[in-house]
Amino acid sequence: MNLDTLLEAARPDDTPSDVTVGRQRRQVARHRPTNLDVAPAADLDPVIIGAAALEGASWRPRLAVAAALVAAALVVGLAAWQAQDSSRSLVGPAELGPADDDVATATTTLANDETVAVDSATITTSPRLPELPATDSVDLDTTTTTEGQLASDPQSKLETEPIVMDSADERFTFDSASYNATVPHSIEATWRLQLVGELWTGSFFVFAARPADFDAIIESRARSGTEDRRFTSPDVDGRLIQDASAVTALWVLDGYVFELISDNLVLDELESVVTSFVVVTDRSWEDVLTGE
Amino acid sequence: MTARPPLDVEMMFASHHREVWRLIRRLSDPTTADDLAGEVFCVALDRAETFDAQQGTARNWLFGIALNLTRNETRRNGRHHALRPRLWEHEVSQDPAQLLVDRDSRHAEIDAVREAVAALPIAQREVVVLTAWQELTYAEAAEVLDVPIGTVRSRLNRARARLTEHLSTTTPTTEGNHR
Repeated sequence: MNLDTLLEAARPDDTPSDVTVGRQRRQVARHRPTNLDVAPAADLDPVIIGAAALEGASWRPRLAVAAALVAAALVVGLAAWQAQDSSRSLVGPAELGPADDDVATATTTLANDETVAVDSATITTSPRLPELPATDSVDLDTTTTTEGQLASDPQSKLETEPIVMDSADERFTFDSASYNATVPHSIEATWRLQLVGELWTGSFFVFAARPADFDAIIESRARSGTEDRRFTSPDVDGRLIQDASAVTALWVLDGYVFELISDNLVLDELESVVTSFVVVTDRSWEDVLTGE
Repeated sequence: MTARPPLDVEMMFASHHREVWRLIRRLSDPTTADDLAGEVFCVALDRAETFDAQQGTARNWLFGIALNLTRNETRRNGRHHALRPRLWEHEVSQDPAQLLVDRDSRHAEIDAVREAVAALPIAQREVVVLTAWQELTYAEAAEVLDVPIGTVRSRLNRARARLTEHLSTTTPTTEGNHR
């Protein structure tokens, strides 16, 4: 029997259950786009946008209007808020990178089941992602070089001092000593990456490791046969290294290698908009440390 | 510049959800497909401005998103080891009836092929799934993967060689015929 025949015979032909289809249809209907084109606050007119809602008969226009309203409220609220105290940020402390004056820098993370409440004074989420103190962020203060690579502020650094997470169902202290002892090769979690300039914030999967362990990790991947790509071992701090994949970037910063894997972000965008990492994980640090 | 019409995700869902689910399922497993297929359309909503009907079909655009999400999920779940063969074993072991079926050599052969596909490097697995199981043309697969068509051909050639080698130990009659 030839290979084509075998492949055809082995093709899985099952289909999603009606329950799954219904659940996912509702998931999509509830979803509010996070990538909103937000004009400067002065150009937004929530009243006009709100009036448009009356014309929408189906869920799609209503969703679009709702998204626009959220965006408008975000920008207006942010402008008022930042006017009161420019040191404050929206989602967490020290989270906003250097902002372009012409760009409204509002962020929100909208995962599947998250909600957003907006008023003139505060913008909060009810996230699965706990917020972390200011010491957990990395401000890269990036600039784009002629080679299209990112250069980081040499003063930037990844803080690995104790991170205290305080969420509804867990309290866990992460300290650099246990990190070094327990996770010699890697720390892996979902990080929230703020992309200032495009008003876009999403959850990204970031793999971070010390360069000294990097070769071993790549070697491990090659042995496992699960990776069909070849990485270049980084040797210069603060450089963005890209491989053949459009969804992965390697980033060296102060002794750590970050592998950023986005759902749909292309590197051209990444180079132009990334200004800061924010360490926020949707997993407990206990899981992170134990590699679960 | 003419503004693009708003993305009709509702219609996209009705038209393509099943195939998106199947693509993810064929690349991974039913549970992952259950988790990710809906997310594909959420991402589509987020990235609506990147879709250009002049440049490609909605289906292929959604397939591209599905591939990225599945890659990420695979990395989360099995960064340092071959994940899929174990998942196949898990699926088989969960179903007592399937255990009986597996005694039949035909089904054992099918399982061997699925395991071999699952053990391929992800880039090769993707072209096999897209061309052999989703029945996309090479040009369509190239569009989904955003790579040149030559890359699709070379990946497929390497995948077929690896599959043939892998299956030769389990299905001695396998011939590595190329299309």
